[in-house]
Amino acid sequence: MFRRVMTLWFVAVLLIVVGGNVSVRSGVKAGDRGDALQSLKAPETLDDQFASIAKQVPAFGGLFYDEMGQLTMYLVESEPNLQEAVDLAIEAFRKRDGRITSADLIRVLPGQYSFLQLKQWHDRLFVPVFSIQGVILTDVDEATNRLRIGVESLEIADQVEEELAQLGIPREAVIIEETEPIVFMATLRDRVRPLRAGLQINFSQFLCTLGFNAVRQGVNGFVTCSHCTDRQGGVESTSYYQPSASLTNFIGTETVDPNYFRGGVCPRGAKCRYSDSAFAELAAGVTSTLGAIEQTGLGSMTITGGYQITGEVSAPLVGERLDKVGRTTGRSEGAVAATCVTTGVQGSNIVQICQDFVNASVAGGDSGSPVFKITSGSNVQLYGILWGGNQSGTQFVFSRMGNIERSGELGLLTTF
Amino acid sequence: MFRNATLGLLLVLVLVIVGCGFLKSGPDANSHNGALQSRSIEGIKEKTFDDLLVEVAKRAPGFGGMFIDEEGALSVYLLDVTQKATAEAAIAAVFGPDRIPPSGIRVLQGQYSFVQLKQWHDRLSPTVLARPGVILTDIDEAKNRLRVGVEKLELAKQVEEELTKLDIPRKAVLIEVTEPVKPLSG
Repeated sequence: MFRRVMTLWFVAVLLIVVGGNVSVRSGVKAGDRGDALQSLKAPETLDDQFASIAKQVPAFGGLFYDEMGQLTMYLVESEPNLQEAVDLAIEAFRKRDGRITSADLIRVLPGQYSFLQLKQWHDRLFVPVFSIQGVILTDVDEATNRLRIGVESLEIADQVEEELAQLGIPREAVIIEETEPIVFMATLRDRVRPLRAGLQINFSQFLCTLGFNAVRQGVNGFVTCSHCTDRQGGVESTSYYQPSASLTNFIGTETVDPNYFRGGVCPRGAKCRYSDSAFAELAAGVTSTLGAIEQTGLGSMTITGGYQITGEVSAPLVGERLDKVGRTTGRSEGAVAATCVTTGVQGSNIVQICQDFVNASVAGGDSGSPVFKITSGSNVQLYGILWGGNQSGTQFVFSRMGNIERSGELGLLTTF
Repeated sequence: MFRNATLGLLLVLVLVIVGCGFLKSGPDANSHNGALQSRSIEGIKEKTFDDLLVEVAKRAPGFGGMFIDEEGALSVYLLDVTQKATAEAAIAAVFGPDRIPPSGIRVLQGQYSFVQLKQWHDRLSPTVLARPGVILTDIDEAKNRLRVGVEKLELAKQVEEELTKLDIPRKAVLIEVTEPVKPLSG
């Protein structure tokens, strides 16, 4: 009997222990799953926050800063206890987002739709609406207390309206408007094809800028600086990559880089050339656009479009305003400060004959930048390639087209 | 009569040959647009811009250089400011008629002809640039002077010595401290 009782006790204890572990483990597992679910769950968006507020304050229709910086809230017009609703909404938002304080003065606008309603409609519409070709974006527009659908062309508005009708969403709750497509904003330092002037190029462990695409004696290629080769002066078949070295980024090989000469007009002890330029043959399969220069804003590296070379200019005049586009300082513009200057190159015995100086910003890596004048719209005239600058980065030096295309330099080039 | 006809034919032939040569010697009419289009002017590529300014000076003696001033006007140095029309014609001949703005050129009193400045510069540059600390030499078209850039003003004396040896008047040369120029690979 005793043995039977002890056995029963033992089994009971065992069951308790095992069962407890299972629930604990399953609790842990559940917790783990919960934690895992938490980590998989998307972070709460502002729309989610607004919707949560609208659950507490049904009249809440959206919150935004107007053009004057005034915090403004939509409240559905039928709300009888306006101030209470405002206070509740602010309190609810403040708990979620410390940016709002109760001391903020809120401007209230009459709204037609609660935010919760707008969000429910939006969540219902965005998948089917996006399947319509030409729809660019959908939005709960808290600044207008409406839904917003951006389309490439208003010609598809009918299709969008049909979908709204099918979904039971009132047409007057939705603004359908033409919107520019959203595109990836590449920079001069990104991988960009086809190649255009102004893009970052890499050789050995250095960075330079692609000066301009050119055809030389029937060979497609591009021009950059002679000092943007493995050895300045003379051909070593330097390999180029855009934007940086990798098998898929290989774009060309140095094929022309005239030697520097001594004597004659060259100062004693120095070696000279008329341009700091070299030509590279484009690699097979690499696309480039002749005559095209990447367009960016002043000081920006973000590509916003393209310039088109419509002519070359052999030599600038002092006072002309010229631009450059380079991988380090983007686009800069300034007046020609001096022309046909014979200048030494710091840290070398090189003297560059007849070079041109421009008062505009520049920095290391901009070597090779195309130098041009904007004539009208996106049309430009090509003046040369940038190769140097002063220590303070306020003045750059370039080799003019007249020198680049001299016999003894790169010779005749087709650049557009 | 036969002789006259032959002479006449020869005369026509000569005129044709000379006429063709004359037409070819001028720059391509479409090649000048703005400053200097290089595409179709083969011979000009071998000349520097300063060489072209010398050509202007040969057509308009007393031409001292030209530049775009802060107001966007084409400003031209002349030793004789009454020679404006001659200077305009010379600039148009070398750089094309489009180089002359519709409002014409603005004339400034110059002290040195460009030919003179260039001769001095060509003599000065290789010698002076061989001195450590001398950074650049230039014909400053905006100031009708030569310009020598040096790392430190203490070097000015050495440059002046050189000018004396080369018989270049000191007042024709601006010596100024200039930042060195460095290549800008990254």
